[in-house]
Amino acid sequence: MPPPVMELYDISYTYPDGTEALKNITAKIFSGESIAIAGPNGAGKSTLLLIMAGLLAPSSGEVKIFGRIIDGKMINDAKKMYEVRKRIGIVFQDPDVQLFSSTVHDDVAFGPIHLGMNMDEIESKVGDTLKFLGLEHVAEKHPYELSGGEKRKAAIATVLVSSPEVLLLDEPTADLDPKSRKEFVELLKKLKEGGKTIVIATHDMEVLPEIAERIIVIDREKVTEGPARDVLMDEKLLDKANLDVPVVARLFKMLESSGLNCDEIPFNTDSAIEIIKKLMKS
Amino acid sequence: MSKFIDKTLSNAIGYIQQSIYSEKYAKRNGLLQGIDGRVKIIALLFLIISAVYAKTIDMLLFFIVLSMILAVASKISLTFFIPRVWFFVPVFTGIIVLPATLNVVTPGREIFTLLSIKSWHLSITREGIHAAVILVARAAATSSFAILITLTTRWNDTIKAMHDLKFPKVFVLILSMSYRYIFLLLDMIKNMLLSRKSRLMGKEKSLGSWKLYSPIIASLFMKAFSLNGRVYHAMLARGFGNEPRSMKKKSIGIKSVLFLLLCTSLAIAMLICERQEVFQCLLP
Repeated sequence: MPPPVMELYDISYTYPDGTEALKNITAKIFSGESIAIAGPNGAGKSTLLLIMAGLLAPSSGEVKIFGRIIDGKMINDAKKMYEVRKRIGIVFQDPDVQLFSSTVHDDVAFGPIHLGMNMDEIESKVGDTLKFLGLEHVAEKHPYELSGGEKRKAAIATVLVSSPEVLLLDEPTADLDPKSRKEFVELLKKLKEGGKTIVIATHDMEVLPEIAERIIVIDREKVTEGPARDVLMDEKLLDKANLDVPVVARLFKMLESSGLNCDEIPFNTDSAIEIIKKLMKS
Repeated sequence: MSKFIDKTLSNAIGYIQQSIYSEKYAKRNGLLQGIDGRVKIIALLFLIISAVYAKTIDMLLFFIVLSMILAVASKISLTFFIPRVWFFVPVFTGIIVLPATLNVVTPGREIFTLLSIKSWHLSITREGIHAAVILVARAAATSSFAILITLTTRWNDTIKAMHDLKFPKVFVLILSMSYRYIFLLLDMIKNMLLSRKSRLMGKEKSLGSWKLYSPIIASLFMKAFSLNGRVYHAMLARGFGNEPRSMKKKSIGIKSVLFLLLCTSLAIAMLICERQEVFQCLLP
């Protein structure tokens, strides 16, 4: 088993106004895996990602990132957190939070500049990242001028440019149209193939089977954890957490209960088409 | 009253978005647009300082005409440039300077009597008008150059130039982020007003409408505060250590160097002329 990149032991987080966002969560994220943190709105997914990124200290419990215990005092110390900032990239839910510079180019360059890369390396990395995401044409644009999909891509570019080992994505498909969403899933698959560890916080159950190998369901506290297929098949548990089984899987489950004999339940349209083709042949 | 506030806010938002965001003139291929941002700020600052020290109307007229020539060379139409300068200058400076034209403030040769009570009278003096005209012309000349900087430089280049010219880093960072988020917050206000409007039935009473605006302002403050925390986290996550850094300085081209030399020599020459009171003799 690969080494864990993040270890959370019995962590809880309470906001200053007394709202309990997380309660006794224990989890491990291993290098190279793609994992989803699923849960309804207000389940504490974003707070959990902030803790995993070393941006927020839990009220209680222990957080280890790359084997090092992270406490509240370290979080604002740029020197002590250098390794964590360099190796972990977080994409916030709202791209307007992520894109705070006055041009896309400057925003993408912000991370490398502050991580102390040399200027030639920065220019080359910024250029390559913008090209990889097809954003060269908006490099000198103000983030305000971008469309929703472009903003999302630009937000990802600001993180990818520093080549982090771990990518934390908060509701990455929230404001994407179907085409951009498909492109985004392909991008994540590419990144996964490149060996990145990917953690996605989402309640978009349609996109989960495409990218997550493992799912942790939370609703302030941990509801369940397991391989994506097992979690997505557990209709009762998902219902308890205000989540839903993907539409394709639900359809096949209904057909199965009406007598259709298929070996496995598909979770996306591509696999569903394959199964239907097989069934038609037989 | 609510209509008045709605219209004022909408127009203010529209004006800010148009004037700052469009950068219509900054994108044109004119003289000042081709000059390096740092050079432009220093050169025009020299001209502004020179205009501040100018004491004669002729000299100030020269600066005003020079700003117009620069505007035309930078492909800014005078029909846009002149009202932009002359709308605000007479309104603000003119009002402030009005009392200076009176004999009670500036004694001198009286040319028009406004009020006469027995032996006391309130009049406009020739010296007063001269002082007022000088002040208004000085304000117009200096603001013309300042307006030229903002019109011909993209905001991002201005920010970079300020950084390179060693303006305090925190000040530059705040300015840059204000520019980034002003649009987002303006959009928020616009949407909140629209949402309020969509739920409004019947005519509003003046007092009621004022009461309805206070929660909008409070909500905007709360949203801005929450945004501030999240943006700080986003910066922290990308290695920000409470000290802004930026890309390396670009080299300055020959055209910019020439422009700087020309403007600084002109400004210095004007100051010397003014000091020696030769300038008037040189003019026909």
